[in-house]
Amino acid sequence: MNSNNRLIRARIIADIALFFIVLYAPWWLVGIAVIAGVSYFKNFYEAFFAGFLFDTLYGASIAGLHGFRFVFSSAFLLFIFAADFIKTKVRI
Amino acid sequence: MRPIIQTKKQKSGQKIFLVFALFLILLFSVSPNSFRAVSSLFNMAAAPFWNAADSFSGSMPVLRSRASLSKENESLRQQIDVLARNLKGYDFAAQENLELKKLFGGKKDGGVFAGILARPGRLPFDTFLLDIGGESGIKNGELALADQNIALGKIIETYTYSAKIKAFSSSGEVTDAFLGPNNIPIELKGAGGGVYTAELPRELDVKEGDAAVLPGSGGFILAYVESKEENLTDSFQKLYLRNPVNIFQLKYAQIIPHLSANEQ
Repeated sequence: MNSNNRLIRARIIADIALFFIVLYAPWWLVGIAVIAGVSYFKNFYEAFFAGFLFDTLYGASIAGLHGFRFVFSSAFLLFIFAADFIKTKVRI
Repeated sequence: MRPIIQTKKQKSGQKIFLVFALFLILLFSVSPNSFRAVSSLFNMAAAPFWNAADSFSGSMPVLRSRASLSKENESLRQQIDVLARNLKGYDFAAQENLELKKLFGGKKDGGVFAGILARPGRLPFDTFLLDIGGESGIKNGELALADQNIALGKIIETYTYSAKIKAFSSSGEVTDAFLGPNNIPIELKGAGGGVYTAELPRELDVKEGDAAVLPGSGGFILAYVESKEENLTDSFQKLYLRNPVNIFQLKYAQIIPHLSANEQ
């Protein structure tokens, strides 16, 4: 129970940190933070919302992608499920 | 080593989240008005955070030592003396500039100056975030300039207190321009990072340093030819052009209405 509480506290801190990283840090640092979050926490859905916030605040429609603009949201969504799939297959 | 086993409940939770996320992306992709409403809301909520960061970075010197402040104070006093002397010449130059603008016309006087909150390097896809928005009278499609006559990009989204510029050099963006002293019509393709590529028939005489300007009045410079690639077996030459300003270090932009920016 105690370790569960600690995990929840760590997750809340990670969420707040991710929010500020999206607001102030370069885009590649957002990517690194999401990779770290998804790797450490189970079902780190917050990564998608971070990507969505990033796309909404700073994104632009990409001519090379037929005007698609949700690049970070989609990439993070894919990453969440890919990471969870890998986690179900292997455990270190 | 053993894999993590997922329960049925967890699996269905994942499916619900996936459907919700895809629905969100699809909804905002097909409905620009919904996206605009959410985007506007997020921008309004984020504006105080950006402004706080801006003022915090401005107040950082307060945390420095007394000795370094005293030294800086002395150096600033010397700079003020130098600038005061230079200012006498500046008044004359500014007056002359105004008179020349009146004489030659074309450019709308002044435009709106905007501070850049975030630029490429921090943001992807050659986009800029400005510290002014619709409240200052800027609109979507207006032209963003750097250093008075360098065409940077156009305003793509305007919120109440912020706006977004997409650079002409953004990857995949195609911009019409005139190249060199003979005004050769050319299509510049953005390659990101302030760089463009273009292709022209090999017979056309293009030199390194030739300027590509935006069509229309103003003669705003988009880029200069940096290098060209010619192949004997190819009837086209490939040009590499670069924006003369470093887009990764820009602090200010000037926003003006311009026909070319609206048309593209």
